[in-house]
Amino acid sequence: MSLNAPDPRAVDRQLLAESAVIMAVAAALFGVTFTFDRVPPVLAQGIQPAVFPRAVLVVLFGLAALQAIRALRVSPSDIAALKPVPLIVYLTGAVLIAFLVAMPLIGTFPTLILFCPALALLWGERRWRLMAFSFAGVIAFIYGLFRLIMNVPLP
Amino acid sequence: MDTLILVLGFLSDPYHLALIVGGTFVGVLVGALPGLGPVIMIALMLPFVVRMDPVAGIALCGIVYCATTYGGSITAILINTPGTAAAAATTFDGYPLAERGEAGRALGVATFSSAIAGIIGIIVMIIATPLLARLAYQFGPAEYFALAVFGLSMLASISGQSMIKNFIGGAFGVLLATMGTDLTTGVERFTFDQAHLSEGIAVVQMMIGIFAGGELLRQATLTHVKRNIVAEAVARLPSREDFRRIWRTVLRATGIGTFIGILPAEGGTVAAMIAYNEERRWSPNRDQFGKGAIEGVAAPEAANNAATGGTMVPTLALGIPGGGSTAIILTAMLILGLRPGPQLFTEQPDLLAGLFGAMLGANICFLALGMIGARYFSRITLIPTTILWPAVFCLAALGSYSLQQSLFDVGIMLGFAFLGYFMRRHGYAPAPIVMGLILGELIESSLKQSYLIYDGNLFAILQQPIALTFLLLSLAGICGPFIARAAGGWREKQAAEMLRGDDD
Repeated sequence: MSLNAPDPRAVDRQLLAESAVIMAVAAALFGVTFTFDRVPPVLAQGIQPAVFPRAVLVVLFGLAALQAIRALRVSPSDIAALKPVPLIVYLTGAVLIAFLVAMPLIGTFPTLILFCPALALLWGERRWRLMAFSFAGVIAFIYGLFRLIMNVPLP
Repeated sequence: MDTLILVLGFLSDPYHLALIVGGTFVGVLVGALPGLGPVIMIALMLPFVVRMDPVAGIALCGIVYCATTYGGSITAILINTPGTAAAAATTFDGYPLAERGEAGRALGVATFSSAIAGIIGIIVMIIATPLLARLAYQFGPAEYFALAVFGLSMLASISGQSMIKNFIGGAFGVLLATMGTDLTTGVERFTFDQAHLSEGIAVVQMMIGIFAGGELLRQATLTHVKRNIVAEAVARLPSREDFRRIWRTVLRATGIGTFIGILPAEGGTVAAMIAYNEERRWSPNRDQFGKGAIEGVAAPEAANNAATGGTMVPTLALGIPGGGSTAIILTAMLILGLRPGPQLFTEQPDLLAGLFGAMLGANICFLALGMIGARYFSRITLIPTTILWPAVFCLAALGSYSLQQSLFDVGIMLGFAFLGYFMRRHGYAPAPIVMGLILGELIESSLKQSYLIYDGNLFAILQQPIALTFLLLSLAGICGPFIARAAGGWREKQAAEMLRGDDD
């Protein structure tokens, strides 16, 4: 392409959607600031507790709006097609949430004993001996660090 | 002189020496692991550091910061995968050198340049920090407000996909800083009736989540990546010829690294990239860059290690973090009840001397460890992701829990892990959030104090020369990239017109 060729412009829908989400969140949080208590002017020292967060939210909204305007007119070569989030990320997230749920229910160390191999298996690890030795070492290290050295009362 | 005696006193304690050797060893190992870097490592260490003696705890952070920054170069050279973001530029010439059988030479130059630049950077830190702190005696709320705004404005030029995205991250961080009970009025803000949030967002857990948790979710998609060590080599000291070729490079890059490090929010990654580009621009061997130029290894390594000392200067003197890692070190200091600024030099001289001594010791220690053991450190990359990251998550989760024995905190960590993953996926770097979180409180409190002092006339801030200077610098920092882009567009237009003229 020669330097003086007209540069075609396109809409970056992904960026537009991101900006819209940020603007929506900023607007919603701006609404939340109206639930903050008001205090007498003497106590507020001139600035009510809602003023600063509102100012930050206005800036955040403005930045997202600026980004949305940019998204409406970008060079097609700048649009990076984002692949869908791989299933493994959601499954990993689910295992992490399961860790959080299991900890108070079955205790920390049983959770660790289940979690480490579960995540490794999910990620495709099949070397059982490697997993057994490695995770036994990790859990023993964690026990020594948190229970024996730091004396943290774990669930 | 007093500082020197305190530094020597720190270094003569066997416990501190063990801390330096142990911290450097672990730091180099972690730095060599792709995905884990100084920011994640220091974030993971926070739950332990805040339980330690303040001098030893902060010194350990400094040691690990120096060692991980260096450790990133080993895998950058041997497997073409930077262990840390700051070592990304080292791959450009380090890996081609390793491929053609000169891995030992590349590792030696990287180790030597890192250690020399790191030591010079720390000497600058020792000299510049008290000078800058003395300047801080002239700072009132208006100046601190302007300084914090300047710190945030520097987000315009840190690494990341877009300036606006960096600012959005920064603004989000400032917003997070407003969560919890407003200290002036006692009013709860954004707590959503959760007692756990009344003291604000759990900063340590947030940092662990956004950095370590977010990276874990990213690593879930990278389990198929196989890492091969292209060469096994013992690092060797630069030859006389290599030394002749790189000494100017090391000094130039040290200057760039230290200066970039001192600028708020910038850090080793930016310093390394700028130093590499500058070296390629000025080197007589510029045609060799990208093919295995030894200067191309020395420049980024010298710059990113010099930046470690530089980034500590505004952190210690003014409480404005020099980068992501120092933002976390600053958090540790605040949790330990240490307020950065001039009073730190009068009230905690042993802490500063300890930090100086520890960082100096770490640089000397990794020079020795790197020369002897680089080939062994590179082997840590052979630990499968499937084993490493479950272990990292266990440490992250239990570390988050251990601070207040609260599962809610583990939930916060997890929430920010998801946020960190999706933010990175969409090009929002996590470091601006941390910067915003740290500077947000300072901005709000100094703004309120200025409002009181100037009777509600905030324009009076502009009448303070130091504050005005910082605000003008902020404006320049924000507008700079736009001006550069506009100038680039203008040059392109001129070139197009010239070409058209030639065609005619």
